[in-house]
Amino acid sequence: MKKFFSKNGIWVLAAVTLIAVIMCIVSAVSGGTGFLHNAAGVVASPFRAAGAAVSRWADNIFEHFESVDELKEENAELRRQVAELEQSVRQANVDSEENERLRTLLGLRQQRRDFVFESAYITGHSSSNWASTLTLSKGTSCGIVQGNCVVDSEGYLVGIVTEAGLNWCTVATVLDTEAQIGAKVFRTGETTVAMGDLSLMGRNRLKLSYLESESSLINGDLVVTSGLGGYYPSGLVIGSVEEILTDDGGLTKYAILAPQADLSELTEVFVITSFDVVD
Amino acid sequence: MTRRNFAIKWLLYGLATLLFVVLQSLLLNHITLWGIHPFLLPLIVALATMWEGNEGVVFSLIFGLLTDLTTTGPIPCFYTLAFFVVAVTVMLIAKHLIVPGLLCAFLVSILSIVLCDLLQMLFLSYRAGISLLPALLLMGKELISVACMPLVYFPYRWLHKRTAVY
Repeated sequence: MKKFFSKNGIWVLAAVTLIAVIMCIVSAVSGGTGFLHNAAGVVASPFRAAGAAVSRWADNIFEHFESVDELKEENAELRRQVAELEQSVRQANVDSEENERLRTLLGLRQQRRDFVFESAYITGHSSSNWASTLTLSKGTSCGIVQGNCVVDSEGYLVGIVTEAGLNWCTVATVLDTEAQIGAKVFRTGETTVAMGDLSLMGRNRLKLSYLESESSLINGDLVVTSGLGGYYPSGLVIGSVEEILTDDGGLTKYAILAPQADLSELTEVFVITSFDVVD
Repeated sequence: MTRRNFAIKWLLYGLATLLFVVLQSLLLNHITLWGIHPFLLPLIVALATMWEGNEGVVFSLIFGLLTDLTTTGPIPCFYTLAFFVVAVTVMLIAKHLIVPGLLCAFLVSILSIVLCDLLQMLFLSYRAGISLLPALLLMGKELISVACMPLVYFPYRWLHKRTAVY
């Protein structure tokens, strides 16, 4: 065997390198997900799913032994929040009825938010520190395509599908440097762009760029998707403003956002495969 | 070395590597130090090649392909190329510059992370237009992973010594 490698080692290396380079070129040249990459994903998908299942099983065991005191505290806090939310819902119902009446009077189209969801399990997290991506257990066979938004069970934005294979897809989370999402400050209506930043990714934060110089943004402001251009649905919660800073040049401002979705604790997400929003 | 011994040797290397990958995905991916988690994969390639030379380079290509199949990089086949570059560099160093051992392992571990990160920077600058300073800072922070070098070094050294007698 050693003789084989001394004689043919260089050819084995050359062949494997050539295959790798060809795969790179084919994937780079072809538009969406290349055939080879798709096939590789299909083959790897069951292994990823098995790994994720083991990981979920281990997490469940750890969670089982979580402190009872912590759970009691959390329960009390949740009860308080439910009471607050019930109050808000009562007020919202009254506002909604009033809104409907006024819209009818003005002849405006009724607001609606129709989403088609596809649930999927997370089968892989990126292990590199240079990206924040997730691999999901469903792909084009379930109607998922590149550019679909992914939300968690509370409807908070998790990320955008960047690649989709037959039974898998890759999601760039809102923290990833490839994620650039049209955003709107919920309180003021100011439109801006939320984007991942390499220096903030490790802190689990993202950047809100292109703020107007006289922006009235304050800490705690909620930032949602703008929906401009119709590419992504509007009103999906991205995160809240944590800090407002000025660029090195001193001319423009940017804000640091804390994502609303708990990206490290996610096991299941929902892909919005189609939407119809009328604001 | 007979074909059987050769197969046993690489089976053992494969099993050890599988354990490191499980360690990475189930434990190290959930540990964050200064905003980064330790990244063992380049160290696995560097240390296997340091001990096994040419065969280590082939191992790194296969390991890179498997990594590309199961994770996502900035381009398809990123890890195949990155690990190949790391392995060839390490092989040359271990053959011509420093005798394989703890010092060599320490240096090639640093080198493996630097090389992988430089390639990451190159591709990410092209695709996402990242700034150089934060990228360099991240590369500096990622060198924390070298602290995990003994986790890979000692099992591989044991394997190398054990299988060298064949």
